[in-house]
Amino acid sequence: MNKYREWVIEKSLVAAAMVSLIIIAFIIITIFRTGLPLIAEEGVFHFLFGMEWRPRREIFGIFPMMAGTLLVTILSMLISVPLGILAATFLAEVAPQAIRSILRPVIELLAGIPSVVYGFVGLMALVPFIRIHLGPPGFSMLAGAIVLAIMALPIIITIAEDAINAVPKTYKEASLALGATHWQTIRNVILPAARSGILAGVVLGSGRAIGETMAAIMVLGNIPAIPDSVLDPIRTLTANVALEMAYAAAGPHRQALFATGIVLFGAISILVITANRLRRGQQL
Amino acid sequence: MKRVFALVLIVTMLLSIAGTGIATTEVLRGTLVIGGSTTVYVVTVLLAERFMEKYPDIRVETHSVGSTAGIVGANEGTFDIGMSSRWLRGDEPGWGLTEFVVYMDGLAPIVHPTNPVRDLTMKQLKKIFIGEITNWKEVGGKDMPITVIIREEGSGARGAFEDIVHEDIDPAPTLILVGTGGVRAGVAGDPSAISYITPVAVDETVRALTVDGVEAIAANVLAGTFPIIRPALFLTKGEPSPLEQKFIDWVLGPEGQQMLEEMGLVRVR
Repeated sequence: MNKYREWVIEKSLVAAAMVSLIIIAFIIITIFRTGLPLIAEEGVFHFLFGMEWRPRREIFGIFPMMAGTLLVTILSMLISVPLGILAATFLAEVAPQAIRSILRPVIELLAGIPSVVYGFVGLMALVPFIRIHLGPPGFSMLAGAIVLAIMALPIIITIAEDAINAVPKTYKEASLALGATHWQTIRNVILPAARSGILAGVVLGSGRAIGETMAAIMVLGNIPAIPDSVLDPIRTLTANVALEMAYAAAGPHRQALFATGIVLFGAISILVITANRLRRGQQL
Repeated sequence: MKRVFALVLIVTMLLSIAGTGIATTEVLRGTLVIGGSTTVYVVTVLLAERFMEKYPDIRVETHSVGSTAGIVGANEGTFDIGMSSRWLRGDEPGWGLTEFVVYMDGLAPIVHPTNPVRDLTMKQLKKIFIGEITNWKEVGGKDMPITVIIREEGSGARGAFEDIVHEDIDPAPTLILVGTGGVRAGVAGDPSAISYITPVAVDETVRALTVDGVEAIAANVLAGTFPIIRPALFLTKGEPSPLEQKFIDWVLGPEGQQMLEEMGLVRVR
C-alpha cells in the first residue's frame, strides 16, 4: 500500500514537471511553424537586416526593432548595473541589520509592482520631464531605459546579494587578517569571488529589460526606426508584436509577428543559458 | 465544427418556429460575444448594459481589441458580432461578413489647447501627416516642430484617417501611441503635437481643429460637410443568428438610436 502511494506521488511529480516541458514545446512549435515560412520566404538576411517595417505594403524588416531592443537594454544596464551592484554590496557587507530588514522588503516590493504601473509613472512623470528639460518628443529611448533599469534593479540586487553572501567567510577573514581594510577586502576579494553570480544577475536583469512589453510601449514612442540619439523614440521587438497583434489577420503580417517572436525566443534563450552557466561558475 | 453545430441549432430553431407558430414569443437566451474597435466599444458597452436590463436572459460580453481584430474575430468565430470603425478593405469584403452601419462618426484633428492654430485644410493635414510640413509656422502657428502622433497599426481611426486624408502615401509619424486615450494623453502633454480622435472623446485637455472651416460635430457629419467621416459597423459571419439579430435590431431600433443621439453620435435611422 505504502509502495503504491510512493509510486503515485513520484509519477505525479514527474507529470507536473512534464507539463511545463509540454507547454514550452507547444509554444516553440507554434511560433516556429507560423513564423519560419515567412523568414524562409523573405530570406533570413532581408528579415533580420531589413531597415523598413511596413506591414500594409508587406515589407518586413526587423533590424530597427532589434537595434532598438539592444540599445535600450544596454542603456538600461548602464544605469542599473552600477546601482544594483553597489546596493547589493551595501546590503550584504555594510548595512546594519536594522536597515537591511527595511531595505530587503522594499526591494522585493519593487519587483512585485506590475509593469503597467511603471509604464504609467514613466508616461506621466518621466516623459514630460524629458520633453521639457532635454528636448522633444519625450517619448524616447532614454525614458524607456530609465523605466526598464528600475524594473531590472530588484533582480540584479537580489541575485548579486546572494552571490556576495555565498562567498566563503574564510576568504574575508583571511583578507582582513592580512591587514586589508574592509573596503579593500570588498573590492579585491569579495566582489571578484562573487563575479560570476553577479554577472548572472546582470544577464537575468537584461532578460527582464528585453522581455518587458507594457511599460516599453507606454514610454518608447514606438517608431520602427534606428534612433539618432537617446532622445529619439524607438520600438522594441516585444512592442512590435504587442502593438500589431490585433491588426494581423492570418497571412504574412501575422507570420512576421511570429517570426519576431522567434528572434526574441533566440535572444532570451542565449541569455538564460549564459546566466545558468555563469551561476554554475563556468567560464563562458 | 462549432459552426456546423450553430447551423444545426439555427435550422432547428427556425423549424421549431415554423412548426409551432407560437415559438416567436419564446424568450431568447444565451451569451453574445462582441469585440473589436476601441472606439465603438465605448458606445457598445453602454448599449449592451441597457439591452441586458431589458432582456435579462441575454448576456452580452464586450471586448475592446481594435477594428481589425474585430473584423478578423467575426470572420474566425471568436466574436458573434465584430465591431469596426472603418469600412472593410483589402480581402475583407470577400469574407462573407454582413455589415450593419450602427452610426456615423467624424474624426477630429486635435492639438494642445495652447496651440494658436484653429483650422487646417485637408491639404495641410495630408502634408503634416506624410511629413511634408514639419513646422507649425508653415500653417500659421508658432515656430516649433510638429510632433505627429498616430495610432497603432490596426486601429480603425488610423485606417480611416489614412484612407481619407493621405490615401496611398505612408504616414511619417513622430510617435505611435496606443488607443484613443493614448493619443489624447500624448497631445495633452505636448504643446506641439497633433493627432486625431473621435469628437466624442475630445475633452478640455485637447482642442479639436476645424477642417476646411467645418467643425467636427454631429450635424456636420450628418450633412456630409465635415470631410473626415467613418462608419461604426457591426459585423456578423453570414446572416446573423436570432440572438445576434435581436441585439442588432434593438441597437438600430428607436431605443438604441435614441441613446446614440444622446451621446452626440449621428444616428443612421
